[in-house]
This record gives sequence, structure tokens and C-alpha cells, in this order.
Amino acid sequence: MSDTIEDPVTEDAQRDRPTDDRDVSLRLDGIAKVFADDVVAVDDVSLTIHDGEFIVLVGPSGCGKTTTLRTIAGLEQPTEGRVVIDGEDVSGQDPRERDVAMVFQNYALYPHKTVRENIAFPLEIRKFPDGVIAEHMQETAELLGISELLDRRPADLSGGQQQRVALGRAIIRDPKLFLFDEPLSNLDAKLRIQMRTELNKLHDRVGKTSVYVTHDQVEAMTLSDRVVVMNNGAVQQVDPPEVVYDQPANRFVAGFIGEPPMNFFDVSATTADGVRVTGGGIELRLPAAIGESLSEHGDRERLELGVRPEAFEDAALADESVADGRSVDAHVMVVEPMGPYKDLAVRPADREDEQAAEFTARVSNDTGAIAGDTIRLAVDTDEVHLFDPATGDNLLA
Amino acid sequence: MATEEFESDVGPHDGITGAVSNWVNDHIRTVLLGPSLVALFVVFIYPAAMLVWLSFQNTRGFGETFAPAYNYGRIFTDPTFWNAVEKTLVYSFGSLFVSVGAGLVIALALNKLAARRMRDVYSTLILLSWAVPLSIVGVTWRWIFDGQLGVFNKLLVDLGVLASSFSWLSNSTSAMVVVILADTWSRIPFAAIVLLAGLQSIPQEMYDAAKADGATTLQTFRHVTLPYLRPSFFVAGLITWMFAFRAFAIPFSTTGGGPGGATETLAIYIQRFGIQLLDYGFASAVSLFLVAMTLVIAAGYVYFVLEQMEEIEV
Repeated sequence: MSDTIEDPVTEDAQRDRPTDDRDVSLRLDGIAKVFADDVVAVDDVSLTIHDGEFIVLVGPSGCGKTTTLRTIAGLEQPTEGRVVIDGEDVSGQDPRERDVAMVFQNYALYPHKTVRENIAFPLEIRKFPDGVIAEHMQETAELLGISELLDRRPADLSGGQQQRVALGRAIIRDPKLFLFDEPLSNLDAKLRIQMRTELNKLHDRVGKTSVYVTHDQVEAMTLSDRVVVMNNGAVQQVDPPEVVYDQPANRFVAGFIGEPPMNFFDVSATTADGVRVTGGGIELRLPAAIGESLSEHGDRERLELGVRPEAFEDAALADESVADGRSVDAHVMVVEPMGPYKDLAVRPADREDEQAAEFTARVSNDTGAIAGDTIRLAVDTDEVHLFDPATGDNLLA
Repeated sequence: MATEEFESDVGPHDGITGAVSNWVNDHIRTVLLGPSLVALFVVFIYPAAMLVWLSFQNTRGFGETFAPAYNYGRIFTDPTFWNAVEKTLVYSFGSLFVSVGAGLVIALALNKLAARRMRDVYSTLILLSWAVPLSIVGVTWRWIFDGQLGVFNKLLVDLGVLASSFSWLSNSTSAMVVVILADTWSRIPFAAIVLLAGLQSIPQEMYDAAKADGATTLQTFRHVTLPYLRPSFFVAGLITWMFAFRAFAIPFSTTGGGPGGATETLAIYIQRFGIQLLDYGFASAVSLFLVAMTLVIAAGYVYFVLEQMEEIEV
């Protein structure tokens, strides 16, 4: 771990592939956090975040995303590594000195203060003159549409209103960074979608660098400029949402991003006559391009094939007949109509004797398939992924 | 056997057992409440009524003569009574502020302990001083501050703070400080435990939010800790004060009310008249006055606090 810290910039460059030449707003250099009971929460996280970017840290519970966020805020001190905000090394500084604002999951409003006093609090304790506070207050309240609520107390507000007040308390300071710790997870589904859109609009208007933590991949995809996927305290991939979806760096990212999750098949590959993968009850012939990139990694026999449910389609709906190497005959077990499409839980047909894995196919709503049918599923073989079964690395990305 | 049969039925019955059963059925409330009412009457209503009755008696000479206004008139003219009221107020509010203040410091320290087990151990140890009988507390503190043999004098003289021993309990101001300290010592645990419970109910997120908002430790204490502790202060304060206001054992065993009435609380005053001078009519009147004062001050306090809390709804 120590040698990566000595040369963190190189690693940043490799991992981040900065997409623009905006100023760097926040940099994490080899952050590690080990708690007292030897629990490694964050292990060597390096990130470079540009001015005005909206970054979402996403991952399962315990992946270290919240600890990373708290380290940026200064609520936790990293065991190793540096936090650099606007070019200044703030490691070891109190949150007060870092000038970052944080929005919490449970809003964390001061219950004994009115909305106005809550929002004004960060300015009050910095001894801003009353006139200035009143001016900022009005702007902030109008921006968030809470002008009518200013004299109420948090207990009299709905969850969505409380979250707006919490946002107001962050915005009024005009901080260097906004940090969000799962701010929408306490809202009901409908309100969450509404607030998500509002956060998006708000970010467009305010344009501040933001780091947002969530376990909800939809929030991650919809809000972010770039997604940081984390697992077991380590960064798995840092990329724009489309890239994370289309070119997952490894098997973990592939399985975590996407709903329903990607299907995985243990296959063996033969390259004699194009790339042909067989296993888990399916047999596919992959495009020549895949064979080329695969051979760059050296030929291997055992592979893990990943196919998103969206890459399947009911072959009966296709204009022309689907070739054998690009289809799977499947036995339909369950049909879940979702409105615009149907999710089918299927199992490769005539393979009950084998270890044929059950998988999910998302097909057009027009399909006539019902449970018990055996249907032919077309596979978009341009959209498949191949992973190294040992390391989990994506061999095509 | 027969009773079982009777009880399983509803309605009038014949025979002696039937008559008993009927009576029980007709007076079920009386039967159920009776024992409690008797107990209440014996330990509370009769003594309280007796107190009121005695307060109307002139008991200064031999026997009792009915003189309803006599004792109450004396209350307002006896200068030592107003001295006792003043000392009681100083004593009770002194004890309230010192014990809740010290209790807060201890609660904050306990709350800082990361290890839960150590917190439990220390909380239990602190409770020990609460378990010591009050008169023992008083005697202990009397010896600590004893003019000749007290360890406090020894300490100060050895440290060179004092040239020679000082009679702490013979000076009216220092005697009051000593009895307040003794009282406080026995009340701190209660205040500390109540406040610790209050501290532990504050969500960690509130501290994080205050820190992220840029608050200093002191500002966090003022804007998060103190407001959240208000209900705990209310409970700890009210109970501490009510006990201290009626305190007898500690001041009596520490100073006996002296020197010259400097630490004579109303409870000691009542004991002096009722037990030593056998003027129990007057002592009864003062007791009633003490009860009334406790109620008035406590009610005012509760009203004030509730009004404040109503708008908070923590």
C-alpha cells in the first residue's frame, strides 16, 4: 500500500482518465481508514474530482462509501492518505476549516430552531452581519421554494420539506464542496424521484462540486457526471454512468449496476472457428471483434460470460430468423409484466440434466410467451461481456 | 364447595354464604379498594388531617387550646422563621445548581468514554455515594471540615494555603457552603445518571451536522447538547430541588443548623419547635407552610418549563 501513496498521481491518471481540463476541486490520495477493531473500511482510495462535477459514490452496504465521504468532510481522519481541496492539503483539519457542507440521511435539523434559524446557523456561527444573512436567506429560500416555511419548526414539516431545509442549510454557505450522505433514502418512492429531479436541477443552477453517497444505482446513474463504484473499501470503477453500464470494469461492477442484474454463465471458449462459448446450457458464437480483443489477453479456455437481461429478445418478434449461434432456446418459468416490457425467468431448454443456470431475459411487451412455454431467445452478441473467472476483470473493456 | 357454585351464578342467593356473596357482589368496588383506602387513611389522610388540626392549637403551655389564627400569626412575626426560609432557599438552590452542574460535568465525561463497559462500571461506582444514608453523609462531611481534626484543614495547612486550622463550621458562610457540598455530594449521582441518559439520546448525526456546519466544540455544546438536554435538566433539577428544599438529615447531622441558625433549614426549624420545644402546634403550622411553598415553587417551575418545551418538541 505504501508504494502507491508515494506515487498517487500516476495512479489517479490511470484510473480517472480526466475528461476535461477544469480545475481540480477535490483530490483523494491513497485514502485508507482502519477502525479500532482492525476493520478496514476504506483501502487505498484515490480520486480526482473536477470543479462543478457531480460525483456519486455507489456500492453495497459496508463498501466504504460513507466512510470516504466522512473523510472528505473531516468527520473521520484517514489512517493513511491525503485529502486535497482546492489545492490545499486539508488532511488533519477540522470540518470547520475545510468549508464543506454536508446533507445527512436523517436531515439532522436542529429541532429547537425554526427553519430560518436552521438555515442561518452556519452563517450565524461565522458571525455574518444580520443584513447579509437575511439576503442569503431570501435567495436560498426562493431557490428551494420554502419561503413560506421559514418560521416553522422541523417537527411541523414533511420529510421532503425537511430535506429542502437541510439543503438550504448547505447552500446558504456557498461552500467549496457539497457532500450528500444518502439524502433521499428516508423519503417515500414518489417523493424520492421528485427530489432526485430537483437535485439535478439544483446542481445545474448552483454548479458546485458535489460528492453524493448512495446505495441506489438509479440515483447513481441519474444524478452523476461520473459514478464511483466501490466494493470492500476499494474503488472498482470511476466513469460516466453510460460507460459504467456499457463497459463495466469487472464482474462486480457488471453485477451491481443494472436492474435486473446481469446474468453470468461459466463457459469454455474455443477460437478455432470464430469465438464460440459453451456452458451453463447455452452456446453462442461471438463477433470477430470480440475474438480479437480476447486474444490480446491471451487465449484462455475458462471464461465467465455476462449477458444483460436487456440483450435478450423473443426471437419470434424478430424480422428474420435468428441463427443458432446467436440464440438460446429457453424454458419459461415465470413471466413478470413490467408494462413496457416483460421480465422472463427462464432456464436453458432440454438441459435439466445439466447444471443449467436460471437467468433473466427482458423482452418486448409484445411477446406471447407464457410460463411453461419453450421459446427461442435472440441474443445481441455485441452486448455480451467476458470476465476472467479468477480476477473478475472485464476482458473486453 | 357451595361458594363456588354461588359465585359462578349471577343474582341473589339464599342462606348465610349467599348473603355474604350478595353483599360482596353489591359492594365490589368497596371490597377491592378498601385495603388501599385504609392504608391511605392511616399513613396519609389521618396524619395530614391531624397536622391541620394541630396547627390550629395553641400548644405553648400545658395542654392544647383551640386558637385557629394563633400559630399562623406567629409564623409571620418570628424573625428566626424568615431566617430559616432564607437559609432553605439558599441551601436548596445552591444544592440544585452545584449538583446539576457537577452532574453535567460527570455525565459529559462518562459519555465521552468510548468503551461501553467502562461507562457502566463508572456509572455504578458513582451511584455508590447515592446509596450512603444521608445522616452518614452529614457526619462524614462534618469530620472532613472539623476545626481541629478535619482532613481538609490538614490538607490546606500541609500545602501551606492556611497557616493554621480554620473552623469551617463556626463561620456562617463557610458552614453553609459545607452543608451544600454535603448535600450536593449525595445528589450528584442522580443528576449525573439522568443527564447521561439524556446525552445518550442525542443522535450522533446532530453532532456531525454541527461540525460540518462549522460549529466549534463550544458552539456544538450550546446549539446541540444543551437544547437536547433540556428535558433531562428539567427532571434532574425539579427532583433535586424538591429533596433539597425539604432536607433535614444532612444539615442536621453536619451542623445541627448552626452556627447561630446559619444553616437552619425549615425542616430543622420544624424539628426544633416540634420535638425540642414540644410546641407541635406551631411546628404543624410551619410544616403546612413548607408543603405549600414546595407546591407553589414546583408548580411555577413546571409551568415555566412546560411552556418553554411546548414550542420545542424535541
